[in-house]
Amino acid sequence: MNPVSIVLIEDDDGHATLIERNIRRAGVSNQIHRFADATSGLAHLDAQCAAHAGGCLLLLDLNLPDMSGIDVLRKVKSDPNHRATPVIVLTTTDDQTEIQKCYELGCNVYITKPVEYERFANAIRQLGLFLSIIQVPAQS
Amino acid sequence: MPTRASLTRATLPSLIGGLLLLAVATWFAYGGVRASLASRALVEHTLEVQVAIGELRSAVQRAESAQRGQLLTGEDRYGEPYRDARQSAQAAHDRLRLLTVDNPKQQAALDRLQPLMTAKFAEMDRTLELEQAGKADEALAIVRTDNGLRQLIEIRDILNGMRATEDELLRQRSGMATVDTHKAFVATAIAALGILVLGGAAVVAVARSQRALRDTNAGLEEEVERRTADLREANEEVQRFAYIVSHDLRSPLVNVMGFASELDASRQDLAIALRDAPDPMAAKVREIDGQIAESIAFIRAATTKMDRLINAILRLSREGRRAFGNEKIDMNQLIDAQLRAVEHQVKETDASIQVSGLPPIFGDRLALEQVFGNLIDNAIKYRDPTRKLSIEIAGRAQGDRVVYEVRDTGRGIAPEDRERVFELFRRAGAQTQPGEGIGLAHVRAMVRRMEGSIDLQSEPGAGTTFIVDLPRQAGRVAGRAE
Repeated sequence: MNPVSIVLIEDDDGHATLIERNIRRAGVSNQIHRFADATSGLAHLDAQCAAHAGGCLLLLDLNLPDMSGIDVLRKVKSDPNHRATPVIVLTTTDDQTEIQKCYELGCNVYITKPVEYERFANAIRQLGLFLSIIQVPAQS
Repeated sequence: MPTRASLTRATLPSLIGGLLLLAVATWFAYGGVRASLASRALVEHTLEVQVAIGELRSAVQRAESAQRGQLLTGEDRYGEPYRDARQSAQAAHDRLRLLTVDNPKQQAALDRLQPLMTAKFAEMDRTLELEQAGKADEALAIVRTDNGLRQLIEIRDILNGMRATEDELLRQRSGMATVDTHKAFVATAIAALGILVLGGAAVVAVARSQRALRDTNAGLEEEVERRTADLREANEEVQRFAYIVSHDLRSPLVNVMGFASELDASRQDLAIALRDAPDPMAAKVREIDGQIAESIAFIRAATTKMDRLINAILRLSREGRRAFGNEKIDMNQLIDAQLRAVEHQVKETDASIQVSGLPPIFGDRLALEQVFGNLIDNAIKYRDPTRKLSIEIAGRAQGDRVVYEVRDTGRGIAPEDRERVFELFRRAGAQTQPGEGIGLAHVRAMVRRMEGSIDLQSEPGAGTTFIVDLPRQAGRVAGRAE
């Protein structure tokens, strides 16, 4: 199994639980670190991911209490240490300008959390599939 | 601003007052000049009178000199100068009569003068006649009576008196003329000063009012700009609010829906785990399972509906923020495309649709597609199942506006619902069709954004006509509003 560590920054505990459950259902057993705010999530990224053998993968919600997910994305992608870290943005909005902005800033995948649960679960399971084959570069 | 306005208001009466004063001063100056001119004329008149007096006196003297000359020498060459002098004296006398016709004192003097002159000339004529007749002694005798001398002295005295009178008049009139000239000069100077002051005041007032006007204009522009900015901000605020509300309302819904599904999954797991339970318990399990399934179904239905409503708000909010295009649109083609989209339903319901020549419009294609798509959709959805449905789409140009009508023979809308149908999340009549009550609200919002209006005429059981009235340049209007 790919030893990639998953960092999930999501302030809604319910969403985090649903995401984690569906990732597990997809058969992904990688370690998942949950953070409810951007500051502690970024701190973890700085402290742990450089040392982590398989690198990290960031699952990022855009609505966070302490800073906007867009800012987190910009920070990660402009930091030479984390630039290679894949970022998957998960959010409730399907606003086209926001999606475009995320891709412009270097987000790798953008997933809308639909209210319709089947679609949501499907998206996460497909993400799990994606996680099981993705090769994340170890950080220098 | 109010101080400037009152300044300007105060300027006008003071300017008018100044003008009046100036008019008065000018009148005085004019009067002064006239009086001065009149005095000058009088002075000239007096001088003329004096000249005439002098002439009379010298003529009488010349006549006497000629008489004496002739009597002394007995030569006839004095006859001519005597007659000249005599004529001049008479002419001067006549002129004086005319010139002093307005002066009773001088006329009285002339009245005294006349008989003296007549007597004097009569005596002189007589001595000359006697001398001609060779009676020089008789003539000399007359002269020696000294009557002629006395008469001459008397004439001189009268003339001197007249002269003195005229001198006095001249003094008076000259003084008057000087005073009048002085007055005219002063009045003119005052008027000139007034003109300068008023002119200066006018320049200052005009400059000030122009400045005030400029300030007011700038203030107005600022005000309009500020109001526009306020409105734009308020509008943006509403849009942002709608966006945030829909966005943040969605997030808990993901949880409700997600965990309802998780609960359902758990229920199924539980049901499988308890599948082989002994009979009384299995029956209870099935009963509870059925209740849980029903509850979950309600939660899901409610959540789905809420999601649809939120999506509708989100869509309206986005539509409100979208910039409208402005292209020439062939409405016949646009309506045809909308009809093709519902072709399947039209065939199913055996409806007949008629589109008569629609005038083109300049506007936003998507907005117009949504407006007429919605109206056509409604016409098909709310048909009367007991009657054959026919839809008529017509249009006409009216000046700089275009009016389109979508007429159906559907079930109609009750009078009390005719406003309600345009409200968000409100629907009318029997709820036989799925929907959230968004379509017509959206249609009206878009029509209004194009500065148009939408109206309906309806008769329950007969049909409904929607009338869309738009400016021909709908896109320009909506583009400006953005």
